[in-house]
Amino acid sequence: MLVYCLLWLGLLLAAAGTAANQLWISVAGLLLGTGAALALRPGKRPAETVLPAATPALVEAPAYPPLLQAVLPAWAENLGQVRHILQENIGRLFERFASLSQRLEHTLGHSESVIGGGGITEGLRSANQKLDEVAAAFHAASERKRQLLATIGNLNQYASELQTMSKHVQDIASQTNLLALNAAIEAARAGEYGRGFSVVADEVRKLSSLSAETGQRMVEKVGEINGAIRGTVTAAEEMSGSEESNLRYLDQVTGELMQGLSGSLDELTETTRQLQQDMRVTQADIQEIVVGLQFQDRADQMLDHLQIDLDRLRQATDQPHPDLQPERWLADLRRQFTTAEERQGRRGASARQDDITFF
Amino acid sequence: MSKTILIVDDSLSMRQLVKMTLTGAGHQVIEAVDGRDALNKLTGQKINLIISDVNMPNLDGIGLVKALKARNEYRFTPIVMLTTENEQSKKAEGQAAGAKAWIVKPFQPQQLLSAVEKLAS
Repeated sequence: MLVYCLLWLGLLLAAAGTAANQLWISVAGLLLGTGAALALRPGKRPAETVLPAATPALVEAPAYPPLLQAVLPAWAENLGQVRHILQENIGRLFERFASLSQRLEHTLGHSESVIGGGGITEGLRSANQKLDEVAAAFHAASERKRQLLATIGNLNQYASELQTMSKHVQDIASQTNLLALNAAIEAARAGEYGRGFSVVADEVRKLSSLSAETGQRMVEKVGEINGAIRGTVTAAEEMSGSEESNLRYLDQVTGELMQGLSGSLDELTETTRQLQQDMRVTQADIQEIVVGLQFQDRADQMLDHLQIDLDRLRQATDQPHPDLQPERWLADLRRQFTTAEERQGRRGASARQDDITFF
Repeated sequence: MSKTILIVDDSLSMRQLVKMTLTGAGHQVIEAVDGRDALNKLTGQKINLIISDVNMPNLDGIGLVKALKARNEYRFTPIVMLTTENEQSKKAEGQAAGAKAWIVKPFQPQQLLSAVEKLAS
């Protein structure tokens, strides 16, 4: 009776484990049920036992309860279904995980390259530097223009000196004319003897007139030059004022831009640092998930061994008198084991994650 | 540098995980479901490395290593065994057959990539 109770308890455990997705509960239930079923079988008959000839059907009939013969194939079938469901669903899960992981790494890598070293950050730094250079170039041009204006201002002064000198020429011409007039008067007084001197005095007077006219033209031209220079200087001063105003505006705009860019750069640098940190964490997480997901392979191998052993038990129950020595049976079962968990059980340590040997 | 690697494993999930790890590092991957399938897929093309499970139907990993050592074009192709087997006797069997490395599952992706980097010809 106790053995039947254990058999049913095993069945219930297996069913509960399957319903709760707890593989170990299912396996424990199956093992308990299997043990109870084996205990239910009749004791091995001694070799010398001779059955009555009148009951040959009893000798040929299986020596196990019908329940065991009915349940074992069902268990094997259910176990096969569990493996199939696990393989199918986890396969799909892996495909999605691989695709997700690939897309995630691609996106993170792309973002890092755009925002990081060779991307926007570098572009903003470059723009900042160029703006600085442009402002510096404008300031340098303005300084050169200021120096040019100073030179033009000096020309104005030279022109004024020229005008003064032209007036001096006019004065000299006027005095020379007066002197020539006096010489002509004196030549007339001298009579015949002063005739030649009178000619000379007349020529000197003509020259002085020409000098006076030339001086007058020089005064006029220098006046025109002075006017042009003053006009140029005035226009240049007006332009200079406008340019200074523009330069102040340029300085203000570039300053604001640079301040804005600098703030953006700080934010981008922080974002990039955060992104790189996230990438490292994500990559580590993906690696851990890859290790964790390998449970399916080990679990499937263990289920495979269990399924093979159940099938072996089912075949044994078909025999009238199989050799079912527990030690031998377990030894055969253990020979199939391929995982550390199977060999060492739950108390044993899980397989190390750095077990690699180079030959 | 990108390598062409043959993965041999009867477990779809393991093939997917190994493939994901290798393709993520820029390698090309060919898949086979067991030793026999691997031999059918090796038709003379250049393979830099083979990563094979040990326990597989039809032709197991050790049998595959022996078969490859008998083929001139793949005699010197390095083979890494990737398996749940951690018994010394099995490792010795793999070494005797001609495998270059033995990695016990679960593998660390970085560990697998290091082995590829070290062994891929």
